[in-house]
Amino acid sequence: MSDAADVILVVVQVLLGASLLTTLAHLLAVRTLIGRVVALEVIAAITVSGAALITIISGETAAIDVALAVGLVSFTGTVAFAAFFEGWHIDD
Amino acid sequence: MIDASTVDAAFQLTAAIVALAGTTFLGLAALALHRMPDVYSRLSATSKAVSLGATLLLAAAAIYVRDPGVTARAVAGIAFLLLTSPIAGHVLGRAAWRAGEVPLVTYQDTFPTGPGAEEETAQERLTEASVATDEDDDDL
Repeated sequence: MSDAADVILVVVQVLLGASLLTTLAHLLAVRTLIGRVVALEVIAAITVSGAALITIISGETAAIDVALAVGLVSFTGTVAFAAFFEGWHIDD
Repeated sequence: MIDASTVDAAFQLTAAIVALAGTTFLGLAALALHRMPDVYSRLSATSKAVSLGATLLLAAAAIYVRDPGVTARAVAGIAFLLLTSPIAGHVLGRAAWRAGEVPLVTYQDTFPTGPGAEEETAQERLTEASVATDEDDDDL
């Protein structure tokens, strides 16, 4: 039973690494600024998932705090970028 | 009588299957970045797939470790992700529209009068272009 779980977790690692590499390739290939931000959002979500996967594999419970922090910073960065891109001002 | 090691193995197998499902959705999001033609469809595809994938992986961590602290953090992370991911997608889409990003798939603005309708937007450029093509058709 546990052997099957280990095999599935190795497959999960490979798939997560492949999707991270694919997204990085798209990040380097896309030419518009907002397309890069979309790719960065996907990369942040893959990082959150990678932290959760580290919690599963190594049993290090501090890694899920990393997932929370990365998710928070990702959302803040996305909103800040949209504010910059749209030209918001404080007194609007 | 079911012993503890069997229960552990069952939880681990369930967590591994949930993690595999979540990673599948993340891989589909990464694939959609390559396959979708413009920014809006990429945003529409990735924001949904990514929130589901990360949610499933956090749930898998909670199932696998079975620790109250880890479960609480995973539930908090899932709630935060499900609350903020649609907001981030909406804000990015609106920024792209206001910045004049031209959509390739949907090119009919259903609500042309909104905040920022008086500005030079992608919609105005598109209607000007369609009017120009109509005049060309009349000339022909």
